[in-house]
Amino acid sequence: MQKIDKHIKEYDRRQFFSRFFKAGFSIAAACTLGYGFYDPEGPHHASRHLSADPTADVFPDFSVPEARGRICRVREADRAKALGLALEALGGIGAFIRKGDRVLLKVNAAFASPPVLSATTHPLLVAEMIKHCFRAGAGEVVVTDNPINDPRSCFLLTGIGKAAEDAGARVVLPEERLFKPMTVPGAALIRNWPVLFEPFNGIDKVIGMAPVKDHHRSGASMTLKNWYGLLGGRRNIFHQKIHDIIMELSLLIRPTLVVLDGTTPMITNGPTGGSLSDLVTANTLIAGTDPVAADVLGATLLDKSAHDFPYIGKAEAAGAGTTDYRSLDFQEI
Amino acid sequence: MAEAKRSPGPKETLLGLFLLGVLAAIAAGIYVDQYRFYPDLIEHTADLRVKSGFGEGAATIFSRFELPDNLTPFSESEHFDAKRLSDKINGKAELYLSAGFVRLETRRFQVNAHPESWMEAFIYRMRDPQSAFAVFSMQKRKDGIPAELGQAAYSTANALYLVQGPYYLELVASTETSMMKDALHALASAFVKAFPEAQGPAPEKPYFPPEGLNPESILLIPADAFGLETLDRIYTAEYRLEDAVMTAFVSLRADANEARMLSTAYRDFLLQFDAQPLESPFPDQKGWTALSVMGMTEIFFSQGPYFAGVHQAADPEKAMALTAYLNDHLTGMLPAIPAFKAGSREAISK
Amino acid sequence: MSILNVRRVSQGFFLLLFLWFCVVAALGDAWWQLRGWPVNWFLELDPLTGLGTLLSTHTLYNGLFWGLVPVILTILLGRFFCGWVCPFGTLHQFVGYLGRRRKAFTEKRMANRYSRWQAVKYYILFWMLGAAMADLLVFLSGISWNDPQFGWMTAALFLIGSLLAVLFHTLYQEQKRFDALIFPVFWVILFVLALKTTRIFQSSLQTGLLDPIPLFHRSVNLILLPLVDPGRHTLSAAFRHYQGAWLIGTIFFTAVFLNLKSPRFYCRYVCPLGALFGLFARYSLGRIGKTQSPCAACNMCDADCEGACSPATSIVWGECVLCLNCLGACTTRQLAYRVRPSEGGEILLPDFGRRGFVFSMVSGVAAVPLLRAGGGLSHGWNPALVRPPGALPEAAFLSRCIKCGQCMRICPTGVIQPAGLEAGLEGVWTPVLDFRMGTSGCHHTCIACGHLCPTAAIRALSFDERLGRNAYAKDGPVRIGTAFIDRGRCLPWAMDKPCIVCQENCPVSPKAIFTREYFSRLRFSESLKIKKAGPLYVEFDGERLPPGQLETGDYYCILRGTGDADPRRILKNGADRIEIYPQNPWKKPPAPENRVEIRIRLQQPYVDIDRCIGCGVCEHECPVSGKRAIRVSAENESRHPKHALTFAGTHDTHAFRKG
Repeated sequence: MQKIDKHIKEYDRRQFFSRFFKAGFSIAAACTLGYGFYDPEGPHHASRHLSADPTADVFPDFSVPEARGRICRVREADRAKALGLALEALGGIGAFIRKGDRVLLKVNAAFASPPVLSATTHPLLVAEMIKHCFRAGAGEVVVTDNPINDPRSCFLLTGIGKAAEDAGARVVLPEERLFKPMTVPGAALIRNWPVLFEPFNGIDKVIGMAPVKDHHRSGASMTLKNWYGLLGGRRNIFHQKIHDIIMELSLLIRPTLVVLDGTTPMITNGPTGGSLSDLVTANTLIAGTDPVAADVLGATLLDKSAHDFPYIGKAEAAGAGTTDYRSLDFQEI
Repeated sequence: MAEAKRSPGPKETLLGLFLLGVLAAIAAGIYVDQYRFYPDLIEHTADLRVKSGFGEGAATIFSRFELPDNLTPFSESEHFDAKRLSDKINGKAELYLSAGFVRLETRRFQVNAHPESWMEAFIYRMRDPQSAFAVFSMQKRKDGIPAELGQAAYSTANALYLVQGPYYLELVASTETSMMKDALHALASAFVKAFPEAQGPAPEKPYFPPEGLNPESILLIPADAFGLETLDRIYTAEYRLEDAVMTAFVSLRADANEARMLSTAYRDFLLQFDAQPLESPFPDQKGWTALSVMGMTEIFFSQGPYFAGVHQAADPEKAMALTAYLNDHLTGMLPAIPAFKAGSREAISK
Repeated sequence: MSILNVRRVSQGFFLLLFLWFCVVAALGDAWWQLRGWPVNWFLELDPLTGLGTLLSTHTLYNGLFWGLVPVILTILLGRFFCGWVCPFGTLHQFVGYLGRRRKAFTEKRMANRYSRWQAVKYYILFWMLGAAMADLLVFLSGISWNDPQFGWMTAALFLIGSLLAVLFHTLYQEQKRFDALIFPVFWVILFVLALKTTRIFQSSLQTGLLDPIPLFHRSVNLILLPLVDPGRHTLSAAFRHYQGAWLIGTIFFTAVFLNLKSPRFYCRYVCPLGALFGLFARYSLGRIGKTQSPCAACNMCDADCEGACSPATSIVWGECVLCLNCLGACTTRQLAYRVRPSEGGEILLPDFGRRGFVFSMVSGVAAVPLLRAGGGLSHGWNPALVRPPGALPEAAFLSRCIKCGQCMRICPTGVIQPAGLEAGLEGVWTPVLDFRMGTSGCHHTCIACGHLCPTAAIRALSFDERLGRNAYAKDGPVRIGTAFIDRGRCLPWAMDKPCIVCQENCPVSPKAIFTREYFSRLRFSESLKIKKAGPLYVEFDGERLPPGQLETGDYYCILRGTGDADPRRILKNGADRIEIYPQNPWKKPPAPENRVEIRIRLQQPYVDIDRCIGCGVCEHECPVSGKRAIRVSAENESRHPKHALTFAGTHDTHAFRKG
């Protein structure tokens, strides 16, 4: 009897200690959890207007130092031929593209428009540019843009997608993960704003290609406005300050070259146009290293001057280029 | 409850008492805790509190601003509601009560290391900024020197008077030393800092045209102006025209109707005292009432929602001129009047 | 002192304390107003709030640390909270007592029989925890070596992991190996998913729906107090109406009256907090049990057993609420609270089975992305959802709000209302502002709601932040929305009636509503023919004018056909005559061949969206009292930079860092 009693007592004791430890363990776990995650202050206010300037984060400078300050204007009806003449006048594509370079073409594919309406960069021009790049020894050519309409249909219906791929380039369609917040130093608008950055990773040279268009809000859409296609987020809000945003865009990225296609400029009802009667035939192609100067030349095709477009003056004042194209190495063909 | 009848053993009783002790401790802890007011909350939501007909809570105004370092309180803060106000300031209570009094808090402070230098601070919480301004201006001392504090302030040899939003402050000191003056100033500044009531231009200034005006003389009579009960919220100001000093008055009523009725009422009131109509040299001014009462000239009119005029002037001609000046000024202030001017139709009201 | 009486005193004490806290939650510094009363203490003591927010925000906020106290005590003693502290439980117990006073012994026993359905509350608990846990898991999978909290986190994880393993081991009833794999596989899948996508794996805090403390607060704040407020504005600033309160009231009273049928119905079958305590009570050092088996088997203990844990047979320890009625009832003194488990056998928890557990938890996890698949938190956001100032961005808000109604209670103007479906199913009874209700708009200098929110779903704003001053001057004041004028309903815009009530009441300085003057021609003025006129009056043929109606000072007379087209303000009018103010007489009085127009001067309001803070005073004061002519909607609210209308709110698209 005593043995049984002893056994019972032992069993009870073991049981008790087992529970004791489990209880202690649970208490320890609970306290650790509580302490580890303790947050006395709660969620913080995050300034909507950052008191300190966010760290500046812009694209690297893609311009070629030895080949700066060149601009030319070619009068030629055939786009491919015009491009060839223009590149030669600027010193040859080899002056800009080295062997093995990875080149990115920033085209205007904003609308799902057929190329004949001149609302987007002409696919023939894109294809031709890609061929020139490969001839100069480029290792890879990437074509991208963040269109206004649906990206897939834009690249398809404008013909740019097929032309690019046929010429051997890679088309990158915009996706949310390809954007990152960037900041132009001293800017009021591009602060921590999502910009299409990923396709530029590892890129050596950037060429902007845009058609000459009238634009209802900014007056014109040419090489400087072309960079609007790098912005993500709800960028429509910048239309309230269109000239300032274009100025900041000119500081965000400095390309190697810009090509401004004025073969059939859209002189009215821009930027979408829609009717062939919105176009004229000017048979002009402008190319150069200075987007401000290029836009000034493009303005003449719209029968206007630099003064008609406030953003040009702002970009020049910010140091993105010069309006006096004659002060550059200006070639006319 | 199907409770068996049994008496609890000693262990149980002890345990029970212990647990009751725990409850008591919790209650005590909560009681102590409720004295630590939610910081930002109570302070800044004063206007939003439940309207209590039960009397105000504990005095806290003095705890809401930082005392300057060199002052220490040497009495408890006292507070008085409308019923007990006369316990503190006796006959003067009448003035405050008729102007819209809510509460008074007082406390005495002394300057560190100088026990003979002490002061008493009276903080009157009035119903609204206008009431505060009314009691401030009605008691303005003639020898007061304007001070740059709060919305309006002036100091005398041993005191500082201040109005800030709905508060009227009186700081009265026991000595006239400059150390004391500085201490008064510091205390008043601390108060102003803690109660940054909405700043804005003094409401009364725009009523009075600037030429000849003595800006320090602007008073707000909350009620019973000039002997007539219904004349309330009358602003008065002193003007100097050549060498004659006159009192002009302006009051903004609810609408044109009320202004007209008030004008008529005042005229009837004065007629009771044998007032005689004066010949007006301005034949077009049909709306004016010009009376001679007991040897003094009284001219007044209603213009839109404004009831205004000149009170007890000695020289009737100068009074007329001042009235005309006042009239033009108020005419210019009527919201619709810009439409009379040819040209822009756009009137953007603030 | 019988321990039973102590328990009754304790229950009474906490119930009265709870009700007192509800009553004093009104702004003010009188002893019966807010002052420093710790009115959120019960919510903070509630460990389900703490655990829920820990899962859904990976933080334990401030006062919720109190939740550890009942947890520790429960681990040691058992479910004392349910029987001694919980005010809702006390209410149920009391009503149950009233209901069974006259009942026979057998009836009482039958009512307290243990039922399998008591496992339902565990399912409810697991469902809620499943819905909330996504955030913590995503967070844990993202934590790095360098984080100073890493040490604590690892330790916590290790401990939890071990506990879960033990729990799983005891749930593991059968030998089938495959079944055993479900649990760890489930966790692995969750981790993997957490790393990759946040669309499938999101948190939502729904504990507030059935957690008794928030539920009781909600019911008292929104139903009971408004109903009993003596109307002299003692309990709150104005008589309170709460939309949709009928549902809250129905649930409350149903729960209360069900006790007449089955005592502590809510506690036994529904209460997730009770389930949580049941889980914690497993290893308690003391438990109720028989000291001898078999005992006298009189079954007296079952008659008043509150927890329906059947102490007469094998006690279900997880269901015992420590009411101690059984101890009091036992005539033979064979029941005791002691260290050793009951001699008559002990069952730890109601049998809810592994499958039940997994199924409820997984449905909880799955429910959240399902509810959000409609895009309610992104493109499909509801502009009618105006949240209180200081509210977090919506996803974070729904991870914290326990629907306690404290913000609604403290709001001095009564505009905070319990939501219906404005915020989706997840947002039922969360705070949303309705400016037609209440006494005014959201007062622009008030910061009460955030200071009272126990979980910081609404942040406690400082005065400076609220008004946009000093350090916050660049951000500007906190905005909860923007007012939009409905020009088809606004009196000066559509009805030719002067009104600028909205502009007058706009509280910000400078005002966010400005007006532009517009003179609208009255219809009858086209056919007026001048009979005769003087410099200060015009008489017409016939009696076309409404006598006396044009004297308000808003009406003007304009002469056409001469060079003098300045509007003259009409002073008086009869049926056929108008007189103008003497200040500006017609130099050339109107002649019968001239035309005259009667115009009414209107001030048409415009909203300045750079200044509007969405306070809703304009909407509240608008005399078009049905569908208001100026209405606030949530565009431009500070908490969502993506909803900005202008540049003021757009700069930081990644606006919120959690603490």
